[in-house]
Amino acid sequence: MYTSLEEMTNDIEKGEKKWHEIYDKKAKEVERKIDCLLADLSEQNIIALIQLFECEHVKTELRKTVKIGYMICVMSIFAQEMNAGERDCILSLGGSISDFMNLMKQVKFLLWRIEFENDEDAIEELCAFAASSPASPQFFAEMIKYVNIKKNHMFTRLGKAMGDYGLEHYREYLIRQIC
Amino acid sequence: MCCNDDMYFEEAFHYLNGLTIPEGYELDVRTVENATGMAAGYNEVMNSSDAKYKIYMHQDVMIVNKNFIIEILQIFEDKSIGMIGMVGAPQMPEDGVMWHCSRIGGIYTSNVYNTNQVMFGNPEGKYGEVEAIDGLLMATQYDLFWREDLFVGWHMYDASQSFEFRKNGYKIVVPRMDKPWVIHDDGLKVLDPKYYEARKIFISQYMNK
Repeated sequence: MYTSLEEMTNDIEKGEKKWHEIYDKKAKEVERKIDCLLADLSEQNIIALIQLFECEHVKTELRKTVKIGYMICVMSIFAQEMNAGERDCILSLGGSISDFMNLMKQVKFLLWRIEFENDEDAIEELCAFAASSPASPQFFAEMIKYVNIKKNHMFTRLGKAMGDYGLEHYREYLIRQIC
Repeated sequence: MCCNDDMYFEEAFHYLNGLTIPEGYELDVRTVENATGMAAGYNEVMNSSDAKYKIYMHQDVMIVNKNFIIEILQIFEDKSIGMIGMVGAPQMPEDGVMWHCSRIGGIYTSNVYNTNQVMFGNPEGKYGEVEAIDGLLMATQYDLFWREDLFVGWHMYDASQSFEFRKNGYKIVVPRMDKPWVIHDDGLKVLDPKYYEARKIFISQYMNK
């Protein structure tokens, strides 16, 4: 129980200082490890990546950092692809944390252009990307969940566009996400 | 804009280019790279331009309201208004932390894991007066020195400038909005110790007087 807002804020400050003392260095170590594993995607290294993201301190504390946050999203998408038996896999789309952050930013920006500007060029670009890369239906569905406000509208919109582009597998998967 | 990420700048610029610009006005987008701090960067760009109306914004802000310029110019017709923001605190709390009190305004806010529409509350009329606005976007119709002498990094420049405008007799307002006018791709952060150092400077400069 605090007697003043200032007291509460000073307490928050102490907590966040301590967090930085414990986790700043750990975050850098984990980022270095991730980049090493991504640079050489052997089966062994993929298993090591999966195990790394199952570590408690990664799941609860390092998830508060941007780079590891993005990679948590990547690994979540990967898990869904594996469960669905997808041939294509997000891990083929980059070789470093920086690669994945740039990829997800690009897709995020395109999804916002579709949602806020009804941008047909952005739709075309996403469909072309789906057709020409190992980006899976799970990748697009999860990106919509991370990035868009009107998710059902976007599942419908992008699903239809993917179908029109001849990507029936993507259309079906996106439409199934509507709730 | 103070910029260190080309991808963000290009996307923010895309939306700026899509704004409806009224007759007699032109858009002049300026950036500062390698700024030592936000206040210093904003002073540099402020002094480089003779534009009457200036919008200081983060590189990760996308203005999705196409009528943004028209709407802020209408508000600025009231010459007592010095600055407009998207989110603001009608009453700054004693600890100087804007999100520790009720606010008005709204944004689409995105971190890595989700994106949400957040409406803090609307003022009664066309706009509501506040004591401070959030630095994600600050539109001005007057030039005032940003306190780079006090705030050398990336924190509290927004609250400071809000108080400087009010000290100079100007009002700070947040518009009434049906839905947010901007996306702020804020990311994730655990506040660094420098935020709290700046907070203490802010309190000693503005709140203990």
